[in-house]
Amino acid sequence: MDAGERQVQVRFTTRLGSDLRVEATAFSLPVHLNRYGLSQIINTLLALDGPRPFDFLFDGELIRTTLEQLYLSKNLSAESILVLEYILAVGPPELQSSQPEKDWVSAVNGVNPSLILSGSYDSFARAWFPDGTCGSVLKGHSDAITSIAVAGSSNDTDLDVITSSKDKTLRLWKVPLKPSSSTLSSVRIFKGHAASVQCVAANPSNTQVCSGSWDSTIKLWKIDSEDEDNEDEQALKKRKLDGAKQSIAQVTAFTTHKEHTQCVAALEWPEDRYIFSASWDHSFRQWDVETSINTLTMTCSKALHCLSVGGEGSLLVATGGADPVLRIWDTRMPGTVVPVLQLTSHTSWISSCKWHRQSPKHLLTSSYDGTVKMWDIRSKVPLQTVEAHKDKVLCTDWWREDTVVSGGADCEFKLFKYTPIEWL
Amino acid sequence: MCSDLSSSQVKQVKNAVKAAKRKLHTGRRGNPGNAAKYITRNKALNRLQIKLPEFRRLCILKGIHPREPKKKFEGQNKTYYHVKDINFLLHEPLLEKSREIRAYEKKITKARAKYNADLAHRLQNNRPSFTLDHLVKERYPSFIDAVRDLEDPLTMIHLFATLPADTTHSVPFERVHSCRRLSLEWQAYVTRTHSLRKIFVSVKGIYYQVEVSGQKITYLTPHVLNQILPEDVDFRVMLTFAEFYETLLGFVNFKLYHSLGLNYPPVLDPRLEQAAAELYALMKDLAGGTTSAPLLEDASAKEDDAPVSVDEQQSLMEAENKEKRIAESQARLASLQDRLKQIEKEKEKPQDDLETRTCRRLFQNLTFFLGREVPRESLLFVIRSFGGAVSWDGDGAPFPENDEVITHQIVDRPTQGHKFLSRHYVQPQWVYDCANNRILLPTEPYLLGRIPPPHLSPFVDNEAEGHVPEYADTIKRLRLAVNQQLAPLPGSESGIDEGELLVAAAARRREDLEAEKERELAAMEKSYAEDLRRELAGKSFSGEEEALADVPESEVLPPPKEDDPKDMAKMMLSRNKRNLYQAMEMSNTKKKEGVKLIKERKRKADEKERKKTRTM
Repeated sequence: MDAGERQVQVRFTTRLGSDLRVEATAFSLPVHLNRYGLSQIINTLLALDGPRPFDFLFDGELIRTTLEQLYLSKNLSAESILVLEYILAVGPPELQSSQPEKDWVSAVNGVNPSLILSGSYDSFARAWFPDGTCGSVLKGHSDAITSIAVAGSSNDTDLDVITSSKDKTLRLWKVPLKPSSSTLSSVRIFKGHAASVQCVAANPSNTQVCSGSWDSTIKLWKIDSEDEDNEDEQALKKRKLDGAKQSIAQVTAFTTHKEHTQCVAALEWPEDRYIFSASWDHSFRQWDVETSINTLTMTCSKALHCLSVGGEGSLLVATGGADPVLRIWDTRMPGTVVPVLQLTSHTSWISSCKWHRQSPKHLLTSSYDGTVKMWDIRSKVPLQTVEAHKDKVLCTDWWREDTVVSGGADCEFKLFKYTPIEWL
Repeated sequence: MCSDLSSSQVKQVKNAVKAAKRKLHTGRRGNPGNAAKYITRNKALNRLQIKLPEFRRLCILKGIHPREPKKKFEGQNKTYYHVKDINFLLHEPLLEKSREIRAYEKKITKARAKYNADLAHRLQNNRPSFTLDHLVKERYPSFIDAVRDLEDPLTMIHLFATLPADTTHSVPFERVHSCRRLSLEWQAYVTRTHSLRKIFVSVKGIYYQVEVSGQKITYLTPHVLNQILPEDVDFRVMLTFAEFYETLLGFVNFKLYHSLGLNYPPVLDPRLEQAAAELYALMKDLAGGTTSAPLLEDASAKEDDAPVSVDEQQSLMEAENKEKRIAESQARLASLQDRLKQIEKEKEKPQDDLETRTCRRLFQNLTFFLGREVPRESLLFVIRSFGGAVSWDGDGAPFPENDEVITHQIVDRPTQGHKFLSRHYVQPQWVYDCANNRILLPTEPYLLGRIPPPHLSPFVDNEAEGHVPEYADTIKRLRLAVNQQLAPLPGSESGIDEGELLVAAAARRREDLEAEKERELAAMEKSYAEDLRRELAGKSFSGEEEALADVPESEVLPPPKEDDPKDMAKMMLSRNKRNLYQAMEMSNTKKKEGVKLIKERKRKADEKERKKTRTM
């Protein structure tokens, strides 16, 4: 490096383990260094055998420019010592498996660590196991499946799963957790919507379900977990043995919210007290479950397709819709009308977004441009971009904290695994 | 072959049926043709039984325009009217009234012809009169309609207020006088409510923009100069318009004054009126009535005032030689009271909107003195509207030139003999520029004897035009600085104010920057991904840098692709819309060329300047 170049003082700190810690003295470094250069300096200081990429934080933001640009943009004095915190960088993911389906994959759910659920336009939902084999096939809907929610389980052997469909109904299934290939039929059917049901969410205590529909209503249903005991199970088996179509227990909604004026596209039930809903009428709303009151309405400039609640204190709402911008809103500031963060990197509409279940900083989005992106909200640039599908990506979700599942309009269902990362 | 023939035959039959149906349709429904819908002017005159000048007058008063039928069935060079409009005129009471008046005139001429002076005189004094009140009501069913349509009336009334009463053009002095009164009343209302928003002094005259009842009204007033009445203007038409507008503005003023809880017409201070300080006289009167007081109290206050003015008149008659001194001291007292009341008034009116508040406070603590050579009425209007106190060189002035409180003296002459050190001697343009930008500009460039900076029009949206003059930029920066100073707390009132002022400009800039930012982010994302890949592959940093340099710019930054979808969209348009779009594009390029020309000129002027300084 030429001698004429300017140097700045940099000190490194970290919260990583002692084997990845460098001494806390200030180094004099040339200003043209960017993340890569800094990472290599750490690597040489630590004398690591293989290259390990690090990411650097300044003032709660990830560095994506050279040090010079950083100094200029932050208006720092060239004499001050720059304190940079370093963390492990997230490497590009590897494709674990890719499964063909018969039609578009419209819903995935990775809440349960032992299996993944996917819903398709061929009206079937499927349970997949970690080795990539298809377990049970959930047969019963007469039209495309739009969304899948998991409502916990009453015992260790099976999982309560609720699916919503374009046939205006929701169905409850009991999916066995052990790998076995079988065809299941539904235990319960939820009828009442006047149009295609677009989304479904269960409350954290797994007693109630809410669903949003094209008829622009949100309906709340009770699962009634007490009824479904062994009798039900026996009846199920009997039915399977008989092969005859018996009437399934029907459930009707106990509450309906009608404030939305357009299709309700996404729902989330982060706590038992309240529900979040996003709609094509450009707004997302918060509802109090006890009183059925719409407690918060935020209006966006575009129709919303997806919504996810998470982040710090589970109070940040990420929304995506009919434009390539992911918006993050802070519900603790109800007076504000603008998102706290707008992330633009996609080139087409955003189809789904999901906060990481443990990390308050990581976020996953899928878009109609065929990519799935992982974001760290400390940076305006996505951490990783995967060109997951050849066509639109319709849905994506986290599974087991380091794996991403996605489904798209190319009728594929894919799993990507990130190299081990420490979520901070 | 056979099938082809049959198909063509079928087509023929179908067409014939269609044509027959069409014929039947028009025949049955009686969709009226042009001949039934329109009528030529001559026929209309016949139908109405009036002469052309009378017809013209009626049309103006009723607001009826000639029409352009698609097919001019009685020749190209004729004027057509809607039959409906003519029938509408037929029912006009004024028509009957004008006939009556004409008959009456005949009586007078007959009496004169018979040398019956007595009768002629009596008849002359008892002429029937008419009003246009019902027409105002008919044409403007709601007040807001009238306010919305006030631009032309105000321009016309202000024009007639400055015209000389002229017998050759039959401009009667009564008309001029009442126009003058109406325009002053209007200005007094605007001053009182601080609703003046923009001023632009042009060669044509002075443009004012006023916000009344939420409507922005822009009107033009002539400069106060000797007006020459041109020969090629039909004053009869102008006078008819003025006649109607007079009635209209009278109604509007009445309503506006009553909305403030004031009497209409306002009572003028006779002494000040004599001293030709009409606007001030009016404003003094207006300031006398408090806003919060209900009408009744106001009326009683007026009664209290009345004997005082009578007393004054008496004293005027008694001691004319002392008059001037007394008048001066009284006027000063009046102005002091006036200002006291104004200060009180400031504390009320929490209902005023933000804009009005900023306008009211602009010149709040400043006192102006107008020199003899500056346009007094316009400056008086502007300064008072923006909350300043003002006096002038002349009769009836509230305070003299040597008063210590004066902070700014407005002068428009090359040199000034005696100068007070305590005040700024500025040119009139300073007042207008300050008012337009809502900040107190530095007085230095506007000082006596200097060439002031360009007077920029507030009606031009610089950023939309594409060219921001240098001085506009300076003013913008000044405004930013002032507003930041005024915004100590984020949430305080002035903070909101600042936000509102800047929001529009910021939004526009944001749009420009957004595309660039996006490209930057994309480049960052790409380089980050590339880096990570290289690092994992185990390449060293310095090598990486060279490799990155090899990558051509176009590859790093995706070229903005916008032509293709635009062309597609253009193809999808209908022909009408495409033509419209082309016209739009053409005008845009024209605008751009204009801007280019201005920039080129500016560059040349700068160069010349530089050369000059170099040679010096």
